[in-house]
Amino acid sequence: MSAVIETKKLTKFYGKSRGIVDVDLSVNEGEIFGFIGPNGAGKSTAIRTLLGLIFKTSGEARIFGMDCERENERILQNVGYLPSEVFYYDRMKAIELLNYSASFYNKDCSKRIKELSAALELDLNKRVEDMSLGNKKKVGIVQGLLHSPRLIILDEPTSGLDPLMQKTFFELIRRENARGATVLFSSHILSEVQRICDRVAIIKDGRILETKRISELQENTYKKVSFTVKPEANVNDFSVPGGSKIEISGRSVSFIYKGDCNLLLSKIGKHPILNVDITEPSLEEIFMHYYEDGGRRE
Amino acid sequence: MNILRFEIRNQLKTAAVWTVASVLIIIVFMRGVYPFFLEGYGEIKKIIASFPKEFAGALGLEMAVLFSFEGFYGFGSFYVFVFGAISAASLAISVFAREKRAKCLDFILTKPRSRRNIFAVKLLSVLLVLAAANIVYIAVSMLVYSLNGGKDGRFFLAACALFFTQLMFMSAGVFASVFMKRIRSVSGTAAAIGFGAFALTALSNILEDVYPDYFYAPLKYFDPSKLFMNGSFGAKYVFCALVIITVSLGASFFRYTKGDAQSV
Repeated sequence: MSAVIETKKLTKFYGKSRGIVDVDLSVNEGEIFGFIGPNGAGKSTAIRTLLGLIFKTSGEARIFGMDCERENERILQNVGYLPSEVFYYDRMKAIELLNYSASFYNKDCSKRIKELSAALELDLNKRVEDMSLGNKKKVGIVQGLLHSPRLIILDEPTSGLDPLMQKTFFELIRRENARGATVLFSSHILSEVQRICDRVAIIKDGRILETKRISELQENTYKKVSFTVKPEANVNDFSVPGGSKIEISGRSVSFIYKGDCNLLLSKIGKHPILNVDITEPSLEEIFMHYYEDGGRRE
Repeated sequence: MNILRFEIRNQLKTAAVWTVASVLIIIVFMRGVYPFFLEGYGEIKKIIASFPKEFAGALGLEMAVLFSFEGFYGFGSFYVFVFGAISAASLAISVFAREKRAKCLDFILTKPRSRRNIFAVKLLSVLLVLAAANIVYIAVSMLVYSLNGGKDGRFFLAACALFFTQLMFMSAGVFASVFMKRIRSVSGTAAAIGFGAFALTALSNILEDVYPDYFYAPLKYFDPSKLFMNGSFGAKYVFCALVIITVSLGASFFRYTKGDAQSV
């Protein structure tokens, strides 16, 4: 399988500030590749370097086998990009903006504009500046996909979209992927990446910590568990295999858990429970517990 | 072509307003004010004649130039120049800072166009609009001149002086758009550039006797009065204008094509 995106020791510094350091990425044709890391980890820097919006300090970045800086114009003919925050020209209706966007590609995109905006329930005759954040994002999605790009780069694409629209959006992306498009999906929300991606690269402090298949990541998924027991109960001696960072405060217990969920539930079930909460830990928490040792697994 | 069409369409209304305004200024000055001004020339000549001979000679010559149609045009066109400088800077800032102001630089820079191409097309759009506006301005000026029976071949060059001046201020506008981190107001920034140049011109007028050169006053580089008095704008000032244009545009081009695009 050929690599659509390939970077070797890609490094970007903003003056003395770190952007990304020695990033090695390889995204294969036809895959949905997740790029995950906490805010400030370097996801957007990597994406902006790939798109030629910023210039690398050192290393190599190629898309479709072409150099991202020297052959940027040719690369962008087949790339669709959705930034994390969407801003467009003032005093333009959505349809005017999308037609202007379409005019950069040597193809008729009018049918696609109609299809995509219908799927996203987007009013094309409304001025972009008068739209809500979610609707602006929809305009961004349509303008990123209207030319049926071979590579779709999404930087935190779901912010501002309601859950129903997120579902539609993921369906759209899957459809684009089925058409043959490769997708680079950046996010700081683990569940989003798990939901749609084949492989994922985890980035922290500008460096790629690990690249793995989603199935591998799911095997190692941590849960953030907290529960409260009834007033008469005592939880001072609570422990569970696979639990870490157990904190007991009065009748409440919280900890990070990795392991068999049945075991977890049976352990908690032994106590007279008032309330239980099992959530996905934030990425920061995963990094704290999973990558404590400078990127090496515990 | 799409960027060119987009930019020209966006500038058209403003450019039309500026063009009509500058044409009106020149019509009002040359067809409205000049005849009244000319009426007082007889009285002024009598007053000058009462001055000492040497002084009266020099002053009389200056007055003769000022009271000529060409001389008065030079005097009146200074105000058109201030106006034109602001409009040229405004057009350039509006075009080159459009994405920066709307925070959508990513939009245009992720389209399959090289930054060189985008810069060149944007510049071309400003030049075309300025050229179109100046064709109207020059045509009206020539018409007004011919209605007054003017025959001096240099008048055409004098009428073109606005365009030459605007090229400098357009370059300054491009420079400001590319190098300033934030442009809050197009008109505010353009007015600051224009009035800054106006203040430098006023300073050069005050210091004219002590320091006759006016390199620091670009609004005077293409002064039509100097053209009618000396036969040329002055090679050194034309050279200065070329340096300003080349350096401003060159530095802006380099920054636009090689600089990191600010993220929002």
